[in-house]
Amino acid sequence: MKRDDDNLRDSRRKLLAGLAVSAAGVLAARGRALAGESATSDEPDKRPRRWGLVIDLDRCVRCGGCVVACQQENNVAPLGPKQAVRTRPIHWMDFLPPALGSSLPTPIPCMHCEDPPCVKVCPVGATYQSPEGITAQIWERCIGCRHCMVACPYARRYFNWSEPRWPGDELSSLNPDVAPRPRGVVEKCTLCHHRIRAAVERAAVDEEPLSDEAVRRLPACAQSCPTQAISFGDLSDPESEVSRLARSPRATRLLAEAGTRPKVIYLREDT
Amino acid sequence: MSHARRSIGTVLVIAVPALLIALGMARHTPAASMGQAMSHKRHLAKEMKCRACHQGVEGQALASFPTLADCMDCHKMPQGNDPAEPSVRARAARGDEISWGRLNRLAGHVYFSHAAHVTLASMKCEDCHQDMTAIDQPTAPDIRPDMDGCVACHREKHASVDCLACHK
Amino acid sequence: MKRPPRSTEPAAAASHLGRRELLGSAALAGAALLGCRPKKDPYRIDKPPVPRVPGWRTGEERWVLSTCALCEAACGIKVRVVEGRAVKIEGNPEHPVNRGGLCSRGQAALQALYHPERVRSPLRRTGSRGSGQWKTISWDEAIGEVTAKLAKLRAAGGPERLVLIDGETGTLTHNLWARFLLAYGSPNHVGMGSTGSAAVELDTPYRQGLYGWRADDLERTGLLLAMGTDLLASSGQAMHLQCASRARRPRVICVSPRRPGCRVDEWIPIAPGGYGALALALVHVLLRDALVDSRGFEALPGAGRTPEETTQVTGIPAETVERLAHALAENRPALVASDGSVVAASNGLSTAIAISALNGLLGERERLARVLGTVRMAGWPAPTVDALAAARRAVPRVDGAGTAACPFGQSRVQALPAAIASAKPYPVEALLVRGANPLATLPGRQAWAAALQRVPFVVSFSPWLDETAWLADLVLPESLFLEAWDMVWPAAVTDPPVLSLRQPVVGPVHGTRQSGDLVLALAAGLGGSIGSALPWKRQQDVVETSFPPQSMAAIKEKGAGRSVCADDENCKHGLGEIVDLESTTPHEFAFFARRIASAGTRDGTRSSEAAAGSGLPPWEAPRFSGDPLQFPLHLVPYRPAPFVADGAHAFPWLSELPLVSGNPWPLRAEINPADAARFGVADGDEVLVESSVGSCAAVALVSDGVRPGVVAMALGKSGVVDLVVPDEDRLSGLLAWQGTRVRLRRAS
Repeated sequence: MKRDDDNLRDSRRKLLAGLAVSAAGVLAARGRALAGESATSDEPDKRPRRWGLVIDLDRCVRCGGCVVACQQENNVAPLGPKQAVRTRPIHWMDFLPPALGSSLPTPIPCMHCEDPPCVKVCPVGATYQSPEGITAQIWERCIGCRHCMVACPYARRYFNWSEPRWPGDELSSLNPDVAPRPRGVVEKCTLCHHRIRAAVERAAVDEEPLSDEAVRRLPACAQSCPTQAISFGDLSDPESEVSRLARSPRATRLLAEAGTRPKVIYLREDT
Repeated sequence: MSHARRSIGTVLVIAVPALLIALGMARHTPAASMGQAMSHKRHLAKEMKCRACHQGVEGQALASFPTLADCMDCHKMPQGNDPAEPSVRARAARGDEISWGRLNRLAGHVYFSHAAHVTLASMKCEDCHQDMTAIDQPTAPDIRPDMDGCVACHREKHASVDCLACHK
Repeated sequence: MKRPPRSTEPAAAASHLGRRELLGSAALAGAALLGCRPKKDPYRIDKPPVPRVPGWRTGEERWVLSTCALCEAACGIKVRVVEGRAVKIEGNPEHPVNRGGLCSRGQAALQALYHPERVRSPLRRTGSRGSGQWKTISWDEAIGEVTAKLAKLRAAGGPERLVLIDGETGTLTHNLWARFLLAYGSPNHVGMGSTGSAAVELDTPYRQGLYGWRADDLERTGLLLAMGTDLLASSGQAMHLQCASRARRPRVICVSPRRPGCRVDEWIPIAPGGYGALALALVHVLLRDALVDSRGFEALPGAGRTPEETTQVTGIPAETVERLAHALAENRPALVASDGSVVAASNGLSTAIAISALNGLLGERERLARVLGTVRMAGWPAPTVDALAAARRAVPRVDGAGTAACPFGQSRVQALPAAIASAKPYPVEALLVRGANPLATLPGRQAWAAALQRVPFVVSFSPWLDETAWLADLVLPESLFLEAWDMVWPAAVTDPPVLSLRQPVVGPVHGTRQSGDLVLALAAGLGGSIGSALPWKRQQDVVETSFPPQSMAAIKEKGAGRSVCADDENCKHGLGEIVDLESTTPHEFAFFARRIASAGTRDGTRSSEAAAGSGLPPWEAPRFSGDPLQFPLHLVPYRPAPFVADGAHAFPWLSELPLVSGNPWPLRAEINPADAARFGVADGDEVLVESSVGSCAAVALVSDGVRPGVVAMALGKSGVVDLVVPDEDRLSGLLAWQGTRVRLRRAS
């Protein structure tokens, strides 16, 4: 009797395990499959865009406006002094130690790599590369394993260690265009894709082409910068501002040797 | 156990959970109150277009509801003979804006744009919404809240199935 | 089938279901099913309801133009409001001050708007002062009580015994309160002496004989000599300087004890208080080498100081001064701009004079600098001042500003605690505090607390139960800037200068009232000449009728309106008077002497300085408090980039900024590696900083961005203020923030 029960239990376990693995696989495959399907047929004559950022370290005064603009735009909750000491506060746009020949801190969002390491390690397809080059994070899919955080060489991903708190009426000021993330989910810079989507839609509804000028300050960080040190645009358009700046002799990328091919380009300080 | 007791017991096993489920679900059914008595059937019978009141569909993500001022465009003069009709003018007199109840609610992480579907994809209201010509006040959502229906139609019409097209 | 009778043995499994088991399993099943009901959607935002505002469509959004109030710069903002709730603040791209950019403070303002700790309605103290026992009362009661007390004070013939501490400058609301005090009969409108605008305030009155903000054309500036750490980071000028540098950044040399957190071409460390000496040395070199047109400047006191002589005070080698002077002369027009920390020393006024002279020498004429003179409130009736008010307005101010104690000062808030304690020149019977929290943001906390206890009637208009409000009798919470009407003259000056509109972006989130509405209600309650001096019903009416309709229309459209000068075709409806510095007489220092000569006559005495001939005060070295042997380091408190003068707790994002210059948790004491070695302190150690009047715990940050001999600590969080000895510049009344010596040791 016992042996039969054991066998039954074992085979049940194997079955369940097998189902779980294949379910995960199916989910991941489905996610990637959906993600991999090409972009809208609304604009058949447009080449696919590759969105990118240029940050001019010479213009940047390290005021921190971009950090807060991003937090407000994307519903990132402050964590308080105890968590701050444990370096858990979430800064999609962050300031890391000096780099690239500057003696001042380095403003750094997600690099939106052309070859993102984080996408390769996600077991459930919660992060993927969109057809327009945004390394996207689908909050609802994330199981919080944090492999992506390990994989990212720029440490640009943040985990929600606790449930975000919005005391009092603070909920009122949340941006309705961005879903707030619960505990257990990894989050990161999205290049304000909700703003890009709205701009593309508005241009289509108004029957006007989406000009480079209209998008140069589209993400919240770029919009807030007093010196306009951050520019946004389509890197596959050779006439765009970001492409032009990317051709500057001061242009460089962080950790170029890592092979991630980041789409955030820095302009070194002008000495 | 007596036959009667067993029957009671059986009934309880079925009824109690059913009651609890019903209660649980009742908490999640949106309030059916519309905030103002208004009959779609009557308005549509007058050959009004949906977008006469839901003006946001062409240019906005959210289809909007009419404000009191919108209603008063017509109802400043008595319209029809519904006993509730004068209440519109009474509200306007007291400046009591109408609090419409929203029935269709997508999940918090979903972005749906009426402008993209109505203006860019040239869809009609009835492609997704129920036929309102026979309904006075809707009491239940008429949009399926899950992803499969959306994706199926997107695939069929070759619209974007990129996650970022719809996820916030 | 008969069931066996119940026994004490355990029930058999499975096949027999007793009633108990039945009910139990039904309950369990029900609970399990309840637990399986759909969870609350974690991605949904369920916002608290707002009072219904007519005309909002579901999902509708609007962008409302207004003006930020978190520093004196007054940047233009546009606020995205969705269904009656503000969800994003961005810079207004058409505003000349900030041209679409916005600093971290403005971006974080929504945290304050919806903060849970806001006072929601008027409060009356029920326990003793400081016990924290409050009762909510109605606005009618609150205003009635204040009116009654003020009426009684006036009836007793002592209206001058009302003191208003007002932290706001450069707004129409400030002018309303000023008019209230004028009609009421009190001279005691006491400003907080903001560290940001002080330097600007000291410049034009003494050079041009005008009160107003300078406008400097930065795009034409070849070299900017930025004095003070805060100028480029957090002063009222910072945003404008940054935005104006988009097209062409001038070469920037920063002179300060602490390296600024932002990009500059060169940083020259200077000892605290040495700015005046540096300016004089530069003037000397410019005149000596005939590098500039020097007519009229020979009379400048201290113009004879050589770089060698001043090295002692500045800590800057003579050859650096020579090089700097030549750089300034070669990169004309050059501009010397400074922030409040530069004049926050015991020799603040003479420092300001020296820097003014330097600017004059360096090509003001080419730089097309203008001054916004008096802002004309064309729609205001002449104020009605009765005999009592006229008489009592002429008595000396309680803070001593304008008397022999402080001949050229506008305000001298740090003198209030002593004046209140001594009841000299007269006791203070009523104290109103708005836009300020002196207990926590000024040195001498104990003295302030004692002083507040002595005043019989204290009212706070703070939106928070801050330290000062805690000791008040009544709290009448003002609405925040996002909920209020106003007109603002930006401290960040543009060319031409502008006035900027502030309007509510949302209705008041709680039951607060705009400051203007409150003063109008008080005036109406008091009636008589006070009521007729302030004849409006609402703040909104004041704002909308103060300026000509055409100007208001233009302002509403853009969010900022231009002040126009005499040649402009719109000028007939000019909002203010602009004085071109070009048009003044070439020898500006004639004005200077006249202004100083005529000052100090308020109480009939003339200052000894004015009597001494040229009318210009002699230059002197700065004074520091604390024995140099016991306290070997200089304390340099500075304004970090996201500095909020009052209420930093309301902006948690700012405290989490990942920049040291953003002053994140915890408070840091920044010292040079040489000093760290000297005192045995390593980076990250917990330290105790002590002065002769207080101590403060901090975490050490060892950096070569701090001059040796200096401890730099960010203002805005509690602690630093307790270290500062409230010394002041006797002439201008400004607090000497950088005049304290400290020592530092590891906290064991």
